Amino acid sequence: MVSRKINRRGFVQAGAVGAAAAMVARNSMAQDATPDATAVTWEPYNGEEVTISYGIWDSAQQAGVEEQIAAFKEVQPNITVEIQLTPWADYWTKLQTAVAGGEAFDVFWLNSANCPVYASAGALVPLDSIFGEGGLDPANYPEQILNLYSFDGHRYGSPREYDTIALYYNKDIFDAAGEAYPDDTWDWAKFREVAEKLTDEANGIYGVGLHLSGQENYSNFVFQNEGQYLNDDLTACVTADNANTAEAIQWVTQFYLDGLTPGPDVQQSNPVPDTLFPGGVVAMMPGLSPRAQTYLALREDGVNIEVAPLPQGKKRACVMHGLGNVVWSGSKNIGAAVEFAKFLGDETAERLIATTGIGLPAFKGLEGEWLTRLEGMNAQVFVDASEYGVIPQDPTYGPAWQSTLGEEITKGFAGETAIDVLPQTIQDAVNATIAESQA
Amino acid sequence: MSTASRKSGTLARSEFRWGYGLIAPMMIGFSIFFLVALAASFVISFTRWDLLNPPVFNGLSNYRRIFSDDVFRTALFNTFAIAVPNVILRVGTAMGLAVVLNSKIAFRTFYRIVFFLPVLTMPVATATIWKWIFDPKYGPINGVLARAGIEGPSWLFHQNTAVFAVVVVLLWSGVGYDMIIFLAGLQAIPRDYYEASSLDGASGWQQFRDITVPLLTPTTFFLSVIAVIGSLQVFDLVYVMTRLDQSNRLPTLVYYIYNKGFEEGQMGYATAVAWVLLGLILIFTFFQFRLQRRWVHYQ
Repeated sequence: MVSRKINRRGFVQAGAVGAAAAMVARNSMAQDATPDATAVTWEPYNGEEVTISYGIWDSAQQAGVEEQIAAFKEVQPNITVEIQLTPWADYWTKLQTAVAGGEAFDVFWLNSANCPVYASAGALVPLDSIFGEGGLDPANYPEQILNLYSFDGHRYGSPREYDTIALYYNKDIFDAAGEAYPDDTWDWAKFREVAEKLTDEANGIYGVGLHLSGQENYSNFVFQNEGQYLNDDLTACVTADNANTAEAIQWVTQFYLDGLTPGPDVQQSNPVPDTLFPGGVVAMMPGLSPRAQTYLALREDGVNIEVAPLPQGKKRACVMHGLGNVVWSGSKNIGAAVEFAKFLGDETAERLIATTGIGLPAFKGLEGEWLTRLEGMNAQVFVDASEYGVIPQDPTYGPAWQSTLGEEITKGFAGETAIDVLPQTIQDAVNATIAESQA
Repeated sequence: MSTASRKSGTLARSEFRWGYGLIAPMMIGFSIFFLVALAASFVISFTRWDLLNPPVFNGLSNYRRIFSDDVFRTALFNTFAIAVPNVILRVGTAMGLAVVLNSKIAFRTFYRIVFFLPVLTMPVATATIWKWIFDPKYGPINGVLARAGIEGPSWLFHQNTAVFAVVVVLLWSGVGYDMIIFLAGLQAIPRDYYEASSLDGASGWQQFRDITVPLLTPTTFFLSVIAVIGSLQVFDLVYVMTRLDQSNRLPTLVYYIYNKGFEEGQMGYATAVAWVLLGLILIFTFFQFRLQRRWVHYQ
């Protein structure tokens, strides 16, 4: 490859910086520049005693994971699994540097946005072999969830859990205003109408709380309006070129401009899902399924939160997202790691997610146990939403474009970018980021 | 004679071996964790590297890109907008506080502790609390303003007010440290000077201007150098205070390095920005050392 020749010459020229540094750098450059993920070769687990590491980011779920590990120990007594907990805020930084430094976790949680990034870089072991006869039956999982972890025709993830979006609402605010609760007949017009009725500036009540995240806010409406952010081959942003996307973005923005939702400046120190909605100043909020338990518990404090399906646009849709277990291609014990990943996707381990976790288990038919823990709340709507959940587009150049999208759309919400040029401004900015990510 | 010199030669060699042997652990650690890391980062700054795929050498293009990068310029501007008032206010306020709290006033120790306490608080905790205090709708500052009939701004959302808010919090959280150093400096000034000058009829203000300030200049110099370097590297407090979901309302240089390197996977470019920041710090520190000859008095 040409670039490699240039590399070598470059480092000779930079000889002044010291032989040690150049050697460190050159060694890391000596790897194949375009790794072929499927070329990873490994021996099946042979029963010897090994210890593997398991990278997760949620301390709240550690106890459940420990139960899963204990159950695995009964099947594979010679494989010891050590949990390595890294909080979400540092997880991706640590994962990136650990993969680069050759010290990553053997098995780890991966969200779908990062799957193409790591799969295309050859950092993941293809897990096609754990599916099929004697392994996991693909029919047991929602198709979107399997697709989340597919890249270039290979499966990379053992499904763990998924989440969907529905409309949380505060019954007390509805009761006080004598307004009927949201139901599955709602469309955009009804949603907007009730948001206007419930907004009460004098008493500091907002009709709706639109969190500044695509997942709990605008992405749902873009998908409902049959829009998309990127073109089909994921090479360019189309927020202006796609009229449906532009329309949805402007429809959402109007809620902010009309004061029906807390603005970005208020959300800077008070994120809607964490303080304003539980605090009882927001009537409705599109939100993630894992929030259900926290909100249900608020009833003891006299805040009555219930949940309904999202209002529908041109069609029913919501953002669906998943979390899978993947195996690092640099692991010294790939065989054992693959055994563990397979176990995690199967019914025994998945049942523990239903009974201890916050997400919906990916394994179909186990939702019932998750729902039992949310008795009194209409959480079935989250399960139903998996029927029409939409998986966001995730390119190999990583999620940086989404940050740009979030940053630019926020300027529109704040009124800094005029609403009529907002879709175009977003498109230009995101395209610049995509160009930068690939440069 | 010859025996003696041979003896001392052996001794010198032995001392030489022991000396280097004893500092070896330190030097090896220093080489690996500082020198090699420094050199490696310099090399990386000439590459495009997303951490996952092997780095690709791309010459000076990272450095060229910096000059046409609007966000870099914004981050640079913000950094100086914070640094200049921060350095002046911190050093000035700290000196004033130190002089007052060095005199014999009631509850002196209590005040010293109160002013020093914020230094012991984690920057992230400090930033989180102040973020609430500056909240535009529910925060106490705008609450008080509203009572007075003034509609308070969205402090941390707009650039100008955010700089103001950040400088206030940096002052609050850092002035105690500078004050303690000044107090040490004050106590090192011999009492004789004050006694002699009061015999000559000097007023309190004259003593402050002509004795205290000049003899504190080494301390002032030290604190200004530290404050300039610290201000140019400002990160955690500003990050937490002005962060808004996926964006940052007041990006500074170190935030920009973090954002490019770890959030957007452009480690090569981030490293190049880091070297530019190092260059800026070196230039400012160099000029501070040059200028000190004109105003710093050592006893």
